[in-house]
Amino acid sequence: MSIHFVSVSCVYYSQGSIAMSQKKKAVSASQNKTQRRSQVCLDEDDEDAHFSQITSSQVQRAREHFTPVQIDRKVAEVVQFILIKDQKKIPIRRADIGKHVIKEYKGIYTEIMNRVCRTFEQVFGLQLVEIDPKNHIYILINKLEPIHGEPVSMRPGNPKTGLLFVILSVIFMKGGVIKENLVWNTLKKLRVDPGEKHDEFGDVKKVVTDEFVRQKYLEYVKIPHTEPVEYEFRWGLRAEKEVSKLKLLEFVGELFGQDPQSWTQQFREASTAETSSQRT
Amino acid sequence: MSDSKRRSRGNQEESAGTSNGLGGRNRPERPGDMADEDDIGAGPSGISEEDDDPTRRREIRSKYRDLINQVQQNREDMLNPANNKLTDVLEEANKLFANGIIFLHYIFLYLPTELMQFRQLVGCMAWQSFAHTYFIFYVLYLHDHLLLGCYGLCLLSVRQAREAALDAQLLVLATDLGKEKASQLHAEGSAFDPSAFAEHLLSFMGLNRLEDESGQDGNLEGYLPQGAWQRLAKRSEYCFKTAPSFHYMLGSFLAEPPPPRQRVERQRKVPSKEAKRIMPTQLKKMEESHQEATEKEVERILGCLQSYFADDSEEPISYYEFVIDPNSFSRTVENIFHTSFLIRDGLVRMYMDTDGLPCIAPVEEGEMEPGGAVVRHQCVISINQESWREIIDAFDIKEALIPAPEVLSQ
Repeated sequence: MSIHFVSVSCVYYSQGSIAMSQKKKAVSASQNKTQRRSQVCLDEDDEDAHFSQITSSQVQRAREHFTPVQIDRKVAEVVQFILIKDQKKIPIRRADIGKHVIKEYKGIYTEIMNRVCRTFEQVFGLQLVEIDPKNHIYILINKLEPIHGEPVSMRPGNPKTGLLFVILSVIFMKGGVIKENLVWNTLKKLRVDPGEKHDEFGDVKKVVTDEFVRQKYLEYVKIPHTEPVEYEFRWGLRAEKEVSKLKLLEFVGELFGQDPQSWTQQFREASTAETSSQRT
Repeated sequence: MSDSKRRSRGNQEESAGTSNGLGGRNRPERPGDMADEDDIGAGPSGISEEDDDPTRRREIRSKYRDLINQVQQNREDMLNPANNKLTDVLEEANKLFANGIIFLHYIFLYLPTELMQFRQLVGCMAWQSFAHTYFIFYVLYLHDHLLLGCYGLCLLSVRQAREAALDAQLLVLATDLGKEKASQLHAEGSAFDPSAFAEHLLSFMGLNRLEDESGQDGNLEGYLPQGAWQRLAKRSEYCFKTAPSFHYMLGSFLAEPPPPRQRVERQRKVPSKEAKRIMPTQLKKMEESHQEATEKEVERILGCLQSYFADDSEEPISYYEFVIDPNSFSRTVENIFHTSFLIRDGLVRMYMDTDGLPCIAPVEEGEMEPGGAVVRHQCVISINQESWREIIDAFDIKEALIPAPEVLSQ
């Protein structure tokens, strides 16, 4: 039984590597997205296929092997693992969940994960979202909508949220991709100089290009064939799922004293993003 | 068909405008002929020597470089739809171009008159390629979507290639910017200006502008109050669907050995210091009291003896009666011990009376013989409890002549 498990996971992971090499050939972000979407379906089908292959014999055996109490406990362990991992806001890899928590329960992985998602939604009001179907990376986002007029959390605001908001708004309002200089120039006008140590943020360049990128709020990509090397910023995978473009546009409108609809292109993009996220 | 020459010393940006009425005469190409009066259009001098002047050329090159730098550094400002800085730069470039050393030669292909009616400007393109050193400027004529031909070839001969290269570089930058600016205009709705965005953010965060603000562009006046970024963060949080970070409400239970160790060490250190400090004083006290006690005792006994003798100087004091304490044997021994000091120091003398019993008397000051020629006898007095009681019975000693010392507070 254990040997069979190993072979299943090998095939599964080789699927992942093929998909990754395909991803590298993609040129623009939008192309990436459409490719990912199409490959999500492909991948899920394959996964289901594998799982359906093992359903007949392996899952049955697995279910018999483990008692309901054990499975309950495993679900709880995965929930706790994800909650702790989410503290730093660095996305969680499925491989880590498998390696550290699920281990020998791999056969009933899908069942466990379904129950985990349900637990998050019903108990915590959180949603476990897969931001990268290729590499199977998850984040936790809040399912509850914030109520205007009431504070989102009782804790004092984290200044980095403000910094992130500034960068994300500039990228979004400028069409989705900007050169890094635009970010640095805008921040300089806000008395945040990447060359100097800032009172609240410390090494600003590191926070923006390293921390935010690792948390997948931003993407910091090299522009090819530039000498000296230049980088550009885009929205990261986490930002796509976690940030409401419509609310962001509303706030920008408030700051300018303008109707958000006056930025027609951006408004259109924000509306479509909102409806598609509400669908999921 | 007019004989008028078509001459455009224009800038590439204006080529779109000048291409409208294109009809021209056929002119033979004379690229190498700089002295041709037809080609005066380039500049006031028009002739070689002045334009070859290296200083003037260096000047022109450096001005071009300045313009290029200006465009590169102030890219953001130039993009601002509110100003016309880009146009200013291009006008500067125009001047350099015009005052420079670049000659234009035009060649126009012969255009059949009958096709003139179909002329329709569809597209116009001009590019400058330094490597080829000429411009191709052409207009497409279409009739019923059928390309009839390409007319109009403008040959630009560039003599001083380095200046042309700089001009080309400047042009590339300017057209890039121009393209971006145009895209801003073409976009539906308002443009987005990051500088204005920054200004609005500063106001939102509660920027305190200093009163004597000069109000120059790019001048960072004022300071942000404490908690400015928190203020922005609190408002921005609405845009995020962040899951709250998970933390145990009462903190996690983690037994940590290091802190207790520190406390123990500190406590241990303190007592040892104090103990050390106490020790010397204690020792000192003991030594002093020990010495003092003996000396004090000796003096006290001398005082007693002298007072007794003062009362009745005739009657001798029996030694035994003097030292023995009928109530305490140890006291008696102490008295003997202390009295021996007095005798040793020559302050008291002991003698045998007529009955053969020892007597004790203080030495008068005059009797002391300096120099110590006094004959000293030594004797050992021993006493035990039995003899002590016998002496008490024999002499019928009721009370001690030497009063017991006050109990020391040790």
